[in-house]
Amino acid sequence: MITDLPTNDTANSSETRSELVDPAELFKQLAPASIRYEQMSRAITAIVLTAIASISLLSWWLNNGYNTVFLLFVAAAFTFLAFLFTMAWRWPAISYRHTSWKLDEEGLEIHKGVFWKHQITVPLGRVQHADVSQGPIQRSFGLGTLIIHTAGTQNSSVVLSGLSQTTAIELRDLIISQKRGDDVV
Amino acid sequence: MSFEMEPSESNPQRSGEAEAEIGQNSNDPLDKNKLEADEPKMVPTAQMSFLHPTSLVFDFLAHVKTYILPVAIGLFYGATEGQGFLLIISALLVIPTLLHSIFGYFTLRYCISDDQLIVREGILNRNIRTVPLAKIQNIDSVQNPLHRLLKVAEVKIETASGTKPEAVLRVLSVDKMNSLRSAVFESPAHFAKDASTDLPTEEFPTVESKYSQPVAATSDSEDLLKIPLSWLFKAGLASNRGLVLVSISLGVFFQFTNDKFNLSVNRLEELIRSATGITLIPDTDLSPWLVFGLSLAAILIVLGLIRLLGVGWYVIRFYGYKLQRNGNDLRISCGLWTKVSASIPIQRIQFISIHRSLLMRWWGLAAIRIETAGGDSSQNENSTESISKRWFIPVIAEGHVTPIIQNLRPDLIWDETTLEFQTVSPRTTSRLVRLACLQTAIVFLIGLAVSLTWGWAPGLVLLPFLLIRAVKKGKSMQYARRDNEVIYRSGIFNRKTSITFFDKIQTLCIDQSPFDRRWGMATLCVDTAAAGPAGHRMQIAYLEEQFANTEFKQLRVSAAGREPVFG
Repeated sequence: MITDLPTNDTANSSETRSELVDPAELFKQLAPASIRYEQMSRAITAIVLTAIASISLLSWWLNNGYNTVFLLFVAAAFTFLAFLFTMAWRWPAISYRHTSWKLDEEGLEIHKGVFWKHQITVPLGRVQHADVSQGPIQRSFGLGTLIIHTAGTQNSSVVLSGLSQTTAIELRDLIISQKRGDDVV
Repeated sequence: MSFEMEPSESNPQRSGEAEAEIGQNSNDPLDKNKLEADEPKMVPTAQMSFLHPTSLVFDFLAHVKTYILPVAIGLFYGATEGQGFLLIISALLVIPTLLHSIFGYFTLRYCISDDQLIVREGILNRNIRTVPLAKIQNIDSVQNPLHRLLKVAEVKIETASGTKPEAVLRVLSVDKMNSLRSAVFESPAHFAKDASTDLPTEEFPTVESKYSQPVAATSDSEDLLKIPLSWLFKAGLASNRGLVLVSISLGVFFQFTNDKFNLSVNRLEELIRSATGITLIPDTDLSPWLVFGLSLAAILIVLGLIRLLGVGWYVIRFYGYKLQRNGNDLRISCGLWTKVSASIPIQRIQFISIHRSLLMRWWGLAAIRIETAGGDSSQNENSTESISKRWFIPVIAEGHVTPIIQNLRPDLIWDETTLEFQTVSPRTTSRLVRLACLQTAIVFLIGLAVSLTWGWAPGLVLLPFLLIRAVKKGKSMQYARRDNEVIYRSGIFNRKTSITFFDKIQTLCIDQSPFDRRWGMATLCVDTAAAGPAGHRMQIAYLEEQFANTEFKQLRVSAAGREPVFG
């Protein structure tokens, strides 16, 4: 996935580099497989919701029979579920386009959010420790989640999910090795 | 690990020497290594000291305090209702605590040996805690009136880690505490910590040069501030502390009021009526204006009393407040009845916040809060830690603020008047005014839905206030970035000015809601460790989108460039 991660020997050229290279070019996208993974996990949620809705509606129908209000209710529920499934299918790709990250001499920067935009940066010196976690479905897609812990209060852990497992591990190792100085709080 | 009650056979004299070396540095590195190798075994039991004998009482009281209320109620009901079993159960509850205290007293021993504080407790589960003196950040002490009568103090020993004190010694005699303090803060090991942390010398010359002369610094502890009684009076009058106290007591009151209590109140009233012939609730018709005037006067009196309660709280808590600087540490001591003293290493200060409420500004006063990493004091207002954070300087005259702030950070040049503040986006006012109009419209509609004749009134009354607030709010928010610090100021009535430093910034973020994007604005957040007790978050909203982004990039570089400077 990533070939040109900045390494330790470029650490002194932060000023010159930021002038020469357009910062936008440094940003990287998540692993494309993360779209499939997101679709799948959202689809599972939607299926579970459908099952719950179907069972409750069915039990109502068996107990009370049906009338117009009930039919309207069913229609509304299934429209909503249909919307959920569409979003489960479409949303991950949209969200993917709006998520990017970069690691440079200063630290890790993450941009995410489609409507509510959020960008966060962790200076390398402030990293307390970094984890990579991988769930069972993520494993089947070869994906991993990078979690960076800082001593901060509101953003004491910064999470970047949807990386390929190898990238996540590579990033973690880089961040740990570049974590300079004495970070005692 | 196993612990021998007898001195270990391997080097019996060595331990004797170690005891003699309290507070001194052993010069022989070989000796030191040997000592550290089998450190738990080397101090014989006989040479470790017990806590003060009154510990038995204080430990018992401290534990009983947590469940005294149910027990007291149980005893009370048991005695009054003649239910013997309640009496017995309540009494039985106390016995385990008593045993625990006795057991605890006879098993806990402590000593200082070879630059380490060793605390040993327990018989079955023996717990030996070894704290290197160099790692001790604070030695806080609390002395309530009973403590002072017996010349003892509760001592808390804190290190940088975790939220709890590393060790609590309840209680030590004052002499023992002082010798412990001097052993820790004047031991060579305490200064060695400055050298041991790899400070980037070439980047931070000012700090380095100041911190590298610890020996000279210890001898002179200079007084930075003493709070006179008049300031405390004013601060008490200006604060809502009394209201908090009243609400707590009301809560307790309603908890315990029942029919019996009401009966007794009625009986009391009857008694008064029969004794004096005055009815407390007059039956005669009074003019409505008189009733209005009387109730207004009553409300004013109650409010005045509440303020006086606030004064009482401030005086009791902060009487004799003294802030001292002792080398790299700040020391606070205060209290009328319960004397509290705390120390704060200057390097640990993450965030400084100056609060000025409306009344305080009229009287030319301010309060300073700070945040230090380690220890969470946002919950308990009365602990020692809250003295060193939330109530760092409870009240200070405006003229003294600048010199104090400069003492809190060696490289900080602080002059609030010359700061070049950047206000938020000029469109903020129109955005907030629009929001205020929307809020009014909602209140208006809800009012009309409730009542068609008078429903419009609340909305109309609310509108001017909301408008004024909208205009003022936009103007009150100011932001400044300097060579080494970020400064944020906000608040209409309660003005808060906060400072944090590049090397203390943990994360930076920018948030943009869809509304923000429509107005071309963004919120910049600066997160530091232990953000909380100061009660002022650095979330600078309504900034120009462009400005927020460039600031974000600048701060990102600055935060990464400045290595954290800590001890």
